[in-house]
Amino acid sequence: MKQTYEMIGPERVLAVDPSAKGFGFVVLEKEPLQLVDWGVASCRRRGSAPCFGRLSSLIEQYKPAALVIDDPSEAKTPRRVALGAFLIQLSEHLEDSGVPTRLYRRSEVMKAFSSIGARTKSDVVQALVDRFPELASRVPRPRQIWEGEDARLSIFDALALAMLHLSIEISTSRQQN
Amino acid sequence: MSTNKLSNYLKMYRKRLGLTQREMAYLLGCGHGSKVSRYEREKRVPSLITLLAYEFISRRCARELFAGVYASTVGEVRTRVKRLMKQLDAQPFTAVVKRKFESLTEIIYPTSNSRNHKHETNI
Repeated sequence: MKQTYEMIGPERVLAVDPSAKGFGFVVLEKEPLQLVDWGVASCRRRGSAPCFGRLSSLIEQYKPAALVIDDPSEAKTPRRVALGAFLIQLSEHLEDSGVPTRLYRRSEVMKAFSSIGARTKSDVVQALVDRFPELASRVPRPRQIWEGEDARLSIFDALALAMLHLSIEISTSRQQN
Repeated sequence: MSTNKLSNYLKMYRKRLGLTQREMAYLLGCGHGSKVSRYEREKRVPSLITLLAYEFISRRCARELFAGVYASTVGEVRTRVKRLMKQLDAQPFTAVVKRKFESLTEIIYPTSNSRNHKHETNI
């Protein structure tokens, strides 16, 4: 992982959200605002190597200006806590390589989206689908009470994180100007 | 021109259409999905016919599909244009040279007034 990132631009971010089966990711560009890539990476095999490899290849491919990660301090399930901790560990490693990492709490995301009237997770998903219609086919059907959360929802969680990060960046740069 | 664009956005436009690599390969007429994968990962450059098929399928022009390649190519061409203008600057200022200056200035500054080109060569 000894790489230099001289070509990194200010406008592309990679957001990652850990899920039960691995992590959901999105690559978002700011100017113009467009969703470059999205998906769910599976890390079912034992050990952290599959997760590490997938995330490393994403960073290698897209050379993001920042890696945006869900802060696991609010995570409730043990697996999500473990995955989040792993991602943070990985992000610290990546920070040494030149990719800065930003952590955002779920409550920060919900607070940001509540300003546009999205108060529940399904509202946030709908707001994101309205903005990025290419994700419409990835919205899972409403789950039954006995079912676990669909892994595809982690794509929307990651996208919400990326949108929050970009909005904070934009407002910060406006204040500086 | 931004240089931090991705080399190509083939994967993004394919995913927007909701197509798999195999389906895209079928539409492009290039046989196998692995070829599309190589195009997307910049391991292989598509042929002119494939590029035109990409344009037709995605409804995007080549400069959008290959935004990073386009940006770097434009940068290289600009450098060569400036070098050529410097070479021309050393020649006698005939009508032919004047016309060349106008054309080359128009390449670099498409909206600029190229009448005073003789004095704009020290770029």
